[in-house]
Order: sequence, then C-alpha cells, then structure tokens
Amino acid sequence: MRSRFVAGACLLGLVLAAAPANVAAQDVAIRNATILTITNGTIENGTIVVREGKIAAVGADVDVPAGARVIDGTGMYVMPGIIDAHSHMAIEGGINEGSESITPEVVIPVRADDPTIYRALAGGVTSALLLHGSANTVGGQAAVIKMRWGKDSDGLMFEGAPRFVKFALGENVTRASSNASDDERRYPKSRMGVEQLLRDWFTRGKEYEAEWQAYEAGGNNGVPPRTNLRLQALVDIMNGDIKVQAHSYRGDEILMLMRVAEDFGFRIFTFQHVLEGYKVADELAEHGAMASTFADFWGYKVEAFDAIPFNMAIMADRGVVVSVNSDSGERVRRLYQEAAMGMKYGGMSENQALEMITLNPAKQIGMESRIGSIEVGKDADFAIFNGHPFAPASRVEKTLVDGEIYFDRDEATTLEKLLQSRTRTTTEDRQ
Amino acid sequence: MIRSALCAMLAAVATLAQPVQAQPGIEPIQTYALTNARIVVAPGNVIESGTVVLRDGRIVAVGANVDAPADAVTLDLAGSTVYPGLIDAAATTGLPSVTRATRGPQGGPPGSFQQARQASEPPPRPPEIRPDLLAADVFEPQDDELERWRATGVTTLGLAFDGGIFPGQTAAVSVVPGEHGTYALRTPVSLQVLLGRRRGGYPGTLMGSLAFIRQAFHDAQHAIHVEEAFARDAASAPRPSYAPEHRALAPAVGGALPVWIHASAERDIGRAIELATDVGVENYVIVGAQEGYRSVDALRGVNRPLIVSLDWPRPDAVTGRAYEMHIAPIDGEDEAGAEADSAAALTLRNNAAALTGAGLRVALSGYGLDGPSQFRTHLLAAVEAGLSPEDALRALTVTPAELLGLDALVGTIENGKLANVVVVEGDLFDEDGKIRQVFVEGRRYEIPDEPPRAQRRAAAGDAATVDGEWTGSIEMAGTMMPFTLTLAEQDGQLSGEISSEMGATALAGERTGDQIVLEGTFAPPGMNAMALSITGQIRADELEGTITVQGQAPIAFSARRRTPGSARMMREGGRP
Repeated sequence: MRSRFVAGACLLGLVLAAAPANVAAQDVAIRNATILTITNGTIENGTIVVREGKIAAVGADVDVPAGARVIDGTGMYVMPGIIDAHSHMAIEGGINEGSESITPEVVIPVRADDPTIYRALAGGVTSALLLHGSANTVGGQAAVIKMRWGKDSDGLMFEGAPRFVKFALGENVTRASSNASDDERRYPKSRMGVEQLLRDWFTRGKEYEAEWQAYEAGGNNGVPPRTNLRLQALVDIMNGDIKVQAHSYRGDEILMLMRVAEDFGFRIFTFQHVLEGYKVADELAEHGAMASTFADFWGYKVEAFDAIPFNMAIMADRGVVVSVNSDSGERVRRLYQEAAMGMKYGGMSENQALEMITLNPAKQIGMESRIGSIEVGKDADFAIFNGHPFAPASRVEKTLVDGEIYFDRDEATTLEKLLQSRTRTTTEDRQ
Repeated sequence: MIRSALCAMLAAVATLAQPVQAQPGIEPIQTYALTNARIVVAPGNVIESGTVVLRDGRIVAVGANVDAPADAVTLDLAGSTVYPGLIDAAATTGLPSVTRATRGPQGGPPGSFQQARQASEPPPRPPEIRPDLLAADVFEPQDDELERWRATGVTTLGLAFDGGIFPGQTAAVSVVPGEHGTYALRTPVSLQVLLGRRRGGYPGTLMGSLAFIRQAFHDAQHAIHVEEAFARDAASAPRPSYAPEHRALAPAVGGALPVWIHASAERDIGRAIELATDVGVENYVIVGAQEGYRSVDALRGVNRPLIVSLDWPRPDAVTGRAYEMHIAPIDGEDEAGAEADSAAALTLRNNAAALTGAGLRVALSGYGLDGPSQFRTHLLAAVEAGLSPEDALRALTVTPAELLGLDALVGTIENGKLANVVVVEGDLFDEDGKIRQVFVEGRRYEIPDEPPRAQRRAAAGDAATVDGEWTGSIEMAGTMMPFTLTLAEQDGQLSGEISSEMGATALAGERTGDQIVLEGTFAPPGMNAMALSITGQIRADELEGTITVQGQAPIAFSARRRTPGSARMMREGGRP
C-alpha cells in the first residue's frame, strides 16, 4: 500500500513533467476568497480572474467569465505568491566556487528536479533568487526562478530578471580555507583583507575597461585585448548591469562595503542577512540599499551575536526595504510564519509584515513590476491558504504560478497521508 | 581444426621468401582468403556467400566470385559471417586516469625543506587541464586489455580520457600489439571537453568549469589574433605567448580540430550545446548523451553527431525515485517504484535507438563502462531494447570511422581498407553469436571460448584479495578525512563497511578481477540518507578508487591494507 503511494509520488513528478502547458489558455477564477492584495488592502469575498497567466481582474464585484476554471475560495485567503530573496535550492554541481575568492564570472547552473522546489511550492513560494554561497568575497552570478515544478531548467528561469552577483563579507569568506594547509590558505584571511581585495580587483576592472576603451578608440595595433570574463563581470557590476546581493552581518563591514562601492561608482542593491542592519539603518537607507534578513535566526556564530529580533522592524522604520528570507530548504516552507514575527517584535503592521515576503523581495529581485502584489496586469502567482497566513495553524492549500496550479494539497503526497497509509499497513500486518 | 590447418599453412608460408618479422607473441601478417562466408560488407550490404582476401594488412578483394590467391591461407568459413571490425570511438583503455589521479605531494609547513623543494619546482599541471596532452603519446595498454577488446570484435579504438575539463586530445589506434607510439592510426582526432571539476583548485564546481571553458576559448581566440598581428607586423605588434594551452585550443577555435563535448544528462546536453554556440565552435560531437532521448529536439536542432555511451545511468536517478526515497525513505519492497525503474531502464537502453530513429548520426561507445568486459552485454541489451542490428552495426563501424577521420581506412569490408574483420559463428547481435576470429590489420587472432565466470574469478583470484581492513583518507572541503574500509569476500560478493568521523555505512558489492564495486546508504547524523558508491582497483595491499556520494562529484581515494586477511580469518573462525 505505502509502496504504491510513494511510487505515486514519483509518478506525479513524471506527470507534472509531461503535462502540456495548456492550462493557461483557459481563464481561471478564484471566487469568494479573502484577498490580501498588499498594495490595495484586503478584499473580502473577492474574486480574481486570471487570463493567460496574468491577473485580468480583481475585486469584490468581479464577474467570473464563462468557461473559466473556478477555484472556490470560500474560507480561503489568497495572497501574492511568496518570494524568497535568498535561496540555494535547485543549484547543480556545488554552490561555492570556493577555489578563489573573486569569481563573478561563474553563473549558477539550475537543476529543475530538486524537490526543494516542490516543498517551497507547498509553502506558497512562487519565485526565488538562487544565490552563490558565501565562501567568496565576490561569488558567482545568481539565477532568478519561478517554481514551475516539472519544467526544465530553462522553463524555471524568470524571464526578464536582472543579473545579480553574490558578495560576501566576514567569517565565511575569511575562514573559507581555514582547514587547508598553511601554504594553501586563500587570501583574504581577515576583514581588512576583504576590503583590500575588493579594492584591488575593482581597480583591475577599471584598468580592463580602460584597455578596451583604448582599443575601441583605435589603439593596440588593432589587436583586441584579451577577453577576461572575470574582469568584465566586475566592470558590469561597476556599471550597474549586474546588481550586488551582499552577504553581511556586522555593521562595520556593511559600512565598509558601501564606502568601497561608492568609491567605485556603484551601489549595493541588497544586503543579505544584514543582522546588524539595525545599527546602520540610516546609512543603508541613504546608500539606497535594501535588506533581506532572518526573522529570528541568530547567535549561531560570533558575527551573529549582536543580532536582535527587532532588526526587521527597525530597518523598515528607517525607510529600508526589508524582506525576510529562508537561506534554507526547510525555512522556505514557512516564510509566512517568519514574516509574522515582524508583528511580534517591533510592531509592524500586518501588511508591512506581508510585504516582507511579497512586494519587498520582489523589489530585491528586480521584478516588482511583475510580482509581489495582487494587481491587474501582474503575474497570476498566488498562495491560497485555508486561513490567514499568519495564523499558526494555517497552511497552503494551493499554489499557482502564471495562473497554473503547481501545488494542490488535495493531490499532493503529504506526510499526513503517508503516515495514514503506514499506520494502515502496520495494522494490516498485525492482523 | 582451423588451428591444425593453420599450422600446415605456416610451414608452407615459411618456405616463401616473405619479409615477415616474427616477433614473439605476435602472429606474422599473412595473406588470408576467407571463403564461403556470409559477408557484411557494410551496414545493409550483405554478400550471402563470398570471399574476402586480406594481404599485407589490407583488404585486397571482396566479392561473391573472388578466387582465393594461390599463396593465401584459405579459411573455409561456411556457416560464419564476416563483419567489418568494430570501432569504439571513445575508450579510456590504456590512458592514465584523470579522475583517479592523485594530487601531488602536499606542500609542507612554511619554511620546511619540503616546501622549499616544492617552491623551486614549477607547480605540477593539473591533470584536469592538459589540452595539449595527446592520448596517443600516453597510451600504454596492458596486453590483456587489447586481447579483451578483440574478443568483443573491436579492432579500432578511439582513445578518450576519463574525466577532467580539458584532459587532452583524443586519438585512434588499432587494437594490435605495438611499441610505444606505433598503435596510432590518427592523432589528434579531437579536443576533449568535459564539464568536470578540478580537484584542489579553480574551477571546482560545474559553474566554475562552464566559465573556465568559455574563458579558455576566448584566450585561444585572442592568441590567434595576437599571432596574426605579429605575423603582419612583428616590430610593433604584441609578442605571442605560445602557451601550450592556447596552441592546443587554437585549431579547435578555427574548426580544424573537432571538439568532443561530454554530456550525459539532459541538462548537460543543453549546456554543451549552449557552450559550443557561445564559444563559436561549430565542429563538435557530443559524447555520452545517455539522456539524449530527452533532448531529441535540441539535438536535432543542432544536428551534430553523437558518440552515445552504453554506460546507462541508474534508472532511479532518471525517474526521480532516488529523490523520492531521499524525501520519504520507506522500508520494505517498493514494487511499483521498482516497476517504474525497470521501465526507465528500458528507456535508457533504448536511447541509441531513439536517437538513431530521430535521424541523428550515432556512434556507440562503451565510454564509462569498465573496459571491454561489459561492452558486448550492453550492446546486446541495447539491441534487445530496440536498436536494429543494422543501425547498431553502422554505429560501431561507418559512423565512428567518420568521426575518427578514418573512413578511408576502416568501417567497411572494401578494397584498400585495413584488414580488420570479425568472424562470427551466428549473428554478431545475438546472444548466441560467437566471435571466433578477429583480424586486425591482417593479423589473425583466434578468440577462445569465454571461460566460465567462476573460473575467471579463480584465475584473477588470489592476486587480488580484498579481505581485510583498509585505511586511507579522502579530501572533503579542503581537509583530509581518514576512513577505515573493512571488507570480506565470499565468491566474488563483497560485504563490509566504511567508517569515518561521519559515521559508519554498510556496504555490499562485488569484485571482478582486481576491480571492486561497492554500494551503500550514507546517513550522517542530522542529514538525509544518500546513496554512496565506491569503485576501486586493488594492487596487492594498495586500493585506489573513487567514492561518490549521491549528488556530489566523485572523490578519489587511496587506501592501504592494515591487517591482510584478518577478515577472512575471522570469518573462518581461524582467529585465536
């Protein structure tokens, strides 16, 4: 019995993989639900109409078009699909190119069959920023995906997303090779080394750019300079074509990185983790950096000792765009509970807390024109809960991406069902 | 019967004044007439009864009405079929292993003699990045390896390295004994590119190697620009570097040297195509393509030839069941899941047929298999799964001959080609078909009946006992972690465990000759269970091989036997 069940789970994977993408051709309507729009308040007994993967109408007095596939939202809460601004799921072949400390030329390769994608869907997540690990001062370029579980890696890519690169500061970078023998240890080994390394490499990037400009102006005997993908990526960072997601903990290193960036003419797009962001919230706001942090995951290493649960609320209060992220294949399933902590610590409003997993991470992945709120014209990415997302017992019933249902608890292999089937088997065995 | 006839002929031939060099162990090249045989001239071109004449290592006549020359050793092959010699376009035989290469000695602490000595020597070049290394130059086969290849009907081998990123350039060789450098039919054949990782340096990840490969092609292109400018105006142009890596890649950039890109999984096939497009390489071949059946559209889109490996991936890795078990491990039998796996196994075996059916140019190869031993069984399984014998033959003769640039020399039974033929009693693609004789460049080899498995084991036997406790260490995240491997063998079946600071894992597997294969489930505390596999080669009290944890790159290890035979003694109760 249970074996059939698990087989069913893997067959489900195959079926999803084989399902043609024709669902979007049919209009979808979610009716009679409580709609948390994020940008336009809460709509009771509202209806959302989806046409070709986009939100065509939303409101209390919206008619369901003839022929639409209707999802009954009675008793349900619909919120925008949750966005995880910091994930390492679905990455193939290692998340850290840790052999060297400056590697912006590498680009995250996506593997579409990571079941974490499906787990994330079960937690209402519909988009994520897949980041390089934090072993390198300048790591690799990121991938922005939608949770189109069953599609291949090209099918997961969020079309039109900007290019991002991961930076990292502090302990992870400086201890990256701490287990290696002395002569194999990688520079930098200290925070001051991190700053110097950044300045050295961006200076080289400037020289590289100048070399190409000289060639394009007719110099260098007509021989083009050597293409250097690493330096080119650094040039793209300085020119704002690649936006920076910077792993950081301490206030001093956050200030350092903003100064380095300003010296080289660019801005840090988003600080990741940024657990001491509350100490430098004004400076973050002035620099124009956003912040993606943990709700209450701190104290787990020295540089996280000064973290406080009020971090999110304080930064938001000072005008920083704040999101709460998972950085984990486990927390990604319950980001809505993480966000709720913003109300407990620091007194965020319900909508402010919801923004931390919707509109704000949408801004941090550069896709706020497409996702992050329930508005006409935006992508039909929704998480449908059986209660308010912040109520402790609520859970996701359905998750839609581009108007297609990618997670449906009625059809899913849940642990609950698995346990039921196991109990049954055990009972049968005893009889 | 044939042998006695041959002896008589040898006596006769010895009286003729032929300049035959009689090297010990190598039969002299004779003139042979293979008569009354069914002759498969080429795929789809069969002479039901005819004669093939082999002289001076070449085919000099073939047809239904060809007379045996008077000086020829005539072999009456009534009831047998003569096929063109088979070609495996990508074999790792006789080449140094890149994946099992051990890293050079670690530098000692600063100021030590060891470090000072190392500092005075140029750093060793990593085996993963040696695009200038020619397979033909480092080919050192064991005699029995070639013998085993011939026993499968293979007379020509493409030589390809077993891993790395730019491990070197491939070659084509005849499966005959020869001194160093005399095997090669063609070198280089192609530049090999794999989406591999370098141990102990950049690039250490898939994303790293993708970037590294792109950069390498940019560099080669740049070197070409510099050399051209230098040729135009040496006085003011920048000086060329002539770095070996750039020189090796330059012909590939220009298209003169084909690029062989290895890709097995669907997504890697996509990456390989994208990579080739990005770096402007048009003359490329995809090697492996085990999930090619999932990429048919993409492959048709670029219409490049494929060297399809008969080394099928594990079905549960393809169905996703390995992942499902990873999420919710269950005890007991999983019949439905196993059924899904067996369906997937058939699909994987049918891969070559699917690709051939899609109109793609396919060569078959045992790349990834353990040498020639599994080649024929996998080939027969592919035919059983749906590959037509004619397509199979083409994929083992005409197509690989073209991909190796040897179509004028091998692949069919035509005048002027090398005297490479296989005499089969029955059908080559039938399990009951028996390969009786193989001719390579005119040399005749009789193929003895395969000894029973048990006998082979006994023969390989004591030279390679695996019983005992082995200690070694593997590199994990930059540090060396010691482990102990305890193994016991009964009739070729192995059991034991590997233990380290990450816990103990029970293992089961088997030994064939000096090769061992072990599998187990690795469940470190606080983490999900992962499949673990170990392959290794025993050399007396040394064991070298790789450990692969599900989803990770293989890690090379070497181990030494601590207490030889102790496990056996324990099992037999011989321990005091």
